[in-house]
Amino acid sequence: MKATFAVVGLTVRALIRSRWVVVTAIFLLGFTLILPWMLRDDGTAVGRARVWIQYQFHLMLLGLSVATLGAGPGLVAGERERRHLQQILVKPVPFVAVWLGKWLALCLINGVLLLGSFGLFFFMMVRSFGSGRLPSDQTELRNRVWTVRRLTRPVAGTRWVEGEGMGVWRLEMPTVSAGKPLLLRARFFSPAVVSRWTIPGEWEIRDPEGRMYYYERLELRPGVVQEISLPAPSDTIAAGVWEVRYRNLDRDTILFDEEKSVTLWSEAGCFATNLLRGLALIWFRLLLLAAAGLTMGTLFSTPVAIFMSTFLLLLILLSGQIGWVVRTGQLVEPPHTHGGEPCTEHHSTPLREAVERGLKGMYRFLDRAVGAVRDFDPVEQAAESSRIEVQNLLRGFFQLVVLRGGILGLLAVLAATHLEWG
Amino acid sequence: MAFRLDIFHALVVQSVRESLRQPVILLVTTVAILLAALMPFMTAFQFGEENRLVMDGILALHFLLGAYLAGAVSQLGLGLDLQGRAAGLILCKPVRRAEFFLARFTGVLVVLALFSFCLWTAAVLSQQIGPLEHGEDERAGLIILAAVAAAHGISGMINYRRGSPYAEWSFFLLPIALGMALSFLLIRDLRADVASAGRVLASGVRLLPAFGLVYLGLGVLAAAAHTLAARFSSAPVLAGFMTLLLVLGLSLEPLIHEWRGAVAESLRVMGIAWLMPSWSLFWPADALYAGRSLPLTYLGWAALYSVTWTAFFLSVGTAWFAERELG
Amino acid sequence: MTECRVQIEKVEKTFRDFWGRARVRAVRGVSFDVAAGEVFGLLGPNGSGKSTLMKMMLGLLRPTAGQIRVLGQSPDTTAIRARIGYMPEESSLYPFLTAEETLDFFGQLFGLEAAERARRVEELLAMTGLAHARCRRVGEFSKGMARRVCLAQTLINDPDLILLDEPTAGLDPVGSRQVKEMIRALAQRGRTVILSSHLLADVEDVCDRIAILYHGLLCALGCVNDLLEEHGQIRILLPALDPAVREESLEWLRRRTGAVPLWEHPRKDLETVFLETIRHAPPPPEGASGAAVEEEAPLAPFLKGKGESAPP
Repeated sequence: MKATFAVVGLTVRALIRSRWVVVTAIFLLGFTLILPWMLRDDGTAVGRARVWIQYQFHLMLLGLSVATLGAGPGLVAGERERRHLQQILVKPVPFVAVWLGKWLALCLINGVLLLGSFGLFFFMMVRSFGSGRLPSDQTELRNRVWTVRRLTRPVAGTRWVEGEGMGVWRLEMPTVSAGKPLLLRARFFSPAVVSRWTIPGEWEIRDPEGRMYYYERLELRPGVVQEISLPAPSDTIAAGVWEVRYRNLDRDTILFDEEKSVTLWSEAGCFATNLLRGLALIWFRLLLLAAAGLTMGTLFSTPVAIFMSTFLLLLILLSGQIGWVVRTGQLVEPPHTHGGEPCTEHHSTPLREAVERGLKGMYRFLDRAVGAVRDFDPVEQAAESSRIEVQNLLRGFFQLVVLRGGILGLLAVLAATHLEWG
Repeated sequence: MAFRLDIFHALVVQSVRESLRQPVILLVTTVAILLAALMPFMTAFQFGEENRLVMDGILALHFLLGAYLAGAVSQLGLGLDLQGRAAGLILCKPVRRAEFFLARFTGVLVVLALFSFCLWTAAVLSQQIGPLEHGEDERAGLIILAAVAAAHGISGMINYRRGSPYAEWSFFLLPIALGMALSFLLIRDLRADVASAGRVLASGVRLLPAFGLVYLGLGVLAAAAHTLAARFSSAPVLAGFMTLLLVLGLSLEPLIHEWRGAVAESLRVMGIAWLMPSWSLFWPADALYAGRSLPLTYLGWAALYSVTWTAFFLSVGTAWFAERELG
Repeated sequence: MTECRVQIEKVEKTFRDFWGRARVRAVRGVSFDVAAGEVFGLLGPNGSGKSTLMKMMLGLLRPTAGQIRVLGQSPDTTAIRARIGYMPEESSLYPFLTAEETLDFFGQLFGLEAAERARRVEELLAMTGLAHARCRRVGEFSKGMARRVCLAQTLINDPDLILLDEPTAGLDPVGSRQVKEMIRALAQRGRTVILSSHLLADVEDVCDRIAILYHGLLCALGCVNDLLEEHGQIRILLPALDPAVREESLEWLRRRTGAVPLWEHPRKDLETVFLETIRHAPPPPEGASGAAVEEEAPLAPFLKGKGESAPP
């Protein structure tokens, strides 16, 4: 273990003295500082806060990912090429200790840079939104951004009564404390979106004991997620199944596309803690990338390893599209129609089918490899103030760091036992 | 001491050879060609934007991987020469520093030109894969794959027989193989359908200025990378500056656009516009929309813009390099 | 019977190309043993396989055929490296570390306690004449100074087996002499030293036995004295004689032996002249760079067996 810590110290020094840390810190902190001037929001305080969180998390994620993948390969391949690594390996130090030491050093520095950047962002955000805002903005911010909420989706049994133009959703909610307001989010679509901007409808919410909790007639815009602030209960309401009803008062048909279109959000925790949990998920992803960079460095020469690592990052960034292909089972959008007639531009040939089969196999493999990274993306949750559960954090740690990072580490160690270090 | 073309030529050849022997250069080029061939299969087609998406993808590959190549070749060439003291070995011969510096840069341009040619031929061939404006022809994709396989196979054979460097041969054979593949397609179409061959030819001619425009942008990037490599030996610092230049250069156009709205036409806005090269000016995808081609006058102005920036970077780089101590 | 520290049996090393064909046969069927307390020299021209053989002893390269045992075990065993010190042909030290940090880092790799490490670092810096340059980065050092740091890190663990690849390359004559004296002193303490060198005089000065390699083949193996001694001749050294006495003596020898005796004035070697010049040179000015030249640089006390014992 002493040797591992010695390698940690050495690597930290290497990263600091090669100016990697300085360059990365300048970039990260510099962009964190100028980010508020580059934001494009919807003009509301809530919208600005959410966009800011989203951009900042993306900045930290992408910036440190690129920096980690730039440094990792050089720490192994570069040192091997300069024959520094050989000097360590002739000492009583197994390669696994060297790999682990370098990985821990990258984890440490990434953690420090992440916290530094986050600290600056948080300070700027508090200063920006802390004062000088209208009371209504402050209330909205407190209710919709600074309050972290747990999402409850409809349970099975949800139905849509077609003839009556009414939808009924049942949601199994945890205990709702007195004085803590709820939030309803909904989205529906309508063909009338072009001709009219809003659709009138009645919303009715009943608590587990069947009492009317909320009733309102609202004109809502189709196609966008609508947030409806609900009043806080005067007494604590025990956990149970709530019922949400919506009656369409318009002559046009509307469509709630999926079950998650109607969700209830109850207050559940501190905003800063939630952001820190999001930060932890970003850190786990960086730990995985650090492992990938070091393993690429073990297997390839420095420039090749950097290129391969960059390619891996690209795959992670494209993991949404990869996941879509695997979920839908198709590489391309289905043929569109022109005036009711099917488009005849797309026709199958054996060659095209073979290529598509091969590509689909490749997409499935890639989804297995990088899909988990997408599943633990904290940006949306952090921006929407949606609670990041501890279980999710633990699963993320296991999936990204222990399992995938471990596999990469094992691959590097196995390769190293077969490598010659002359 | 007068400028000696033979010395300059020798230095350029050495620079190109050294770069091409780096496996990463071959790897990047091969990956770019293969992705260009697969692009029509990998793009989620929608709303009749198929051709545009495919071409956007290939041009993005050209620009981004070209930028990576520009940085990598500069660092692996000049950067390593300075670290490994090979530069000192050359400069203790009757070679001027400016000659050495500019010859190295010319070497980078040659590598980027070969890379751009490969991407252009791959793009023309890729256009023949459906569903595209000239109808479906998946065999064009096979032709690209066959050309890549042939280049690698032949260089492998040469390496087996004569022990010549695999990466260097493959890189030289790739543009030849792709050029031959394009000629094959043209001849085949000429025999079957002259109009079709004409369309392929027209497509190639239409795309050529677009790829030329991206190449001009890559030239500026290469000059910047080369200049930075002369000053900063540390790879992270070089990579950091290059990323900054790329990101700010890409966001320059929208930023200026936004500020124009806020502060109207002002000297400040114009000043910022001239502060660094804007990469948006080298992005030809929009000009290719709906079968149009890039106006040659635009290409001319872009060339002037590119040459100005390149000259600026190289002047700074030459001055830095002249001052640099070679330990 | 003396304990055998290194056993090399019919070792071969072939480097292959991408296609698996033999590209270079660096070592061909070499066999020899090295005993404890012995100073063993590997001699040979460039590319004769000396460094390859050493790297195989360290487990960095693996033999294509044959067997190597180092300290009774396979060179791949990590634990035995705690008893080995290796000085490579090129110093290959981390350029961003200072001399002191370098030695401390390598000490940590052997699991030495902080206090013990600090003591050894101090003693090694004094031994190699780098105490005044302890805070300078190794990247700023001259080749010879970096070589001294490299030598110091080789000894940080007080090794039983020391492998030195071109140890005096890049060192000034003083440093070179110090290294040779150190090798002898370590051998007297029972340490085994294997060194490779092009400098035949160095090998001759310190080695008990040598192996001469050429194109990977072992061409000669034996004691230095046996290999170098010309048994048919003797040399008598006398103070300068009066010419008449000298001629008379030579004549007497000619008559007694029947051979024609030769005489000459012995020449000082350049190393001796250099050392004398340095000895009489004025003291270095303030702020001078370079290693301190102390002809009688002491062997670090921990290497003499004083203080703590060798690490586990």
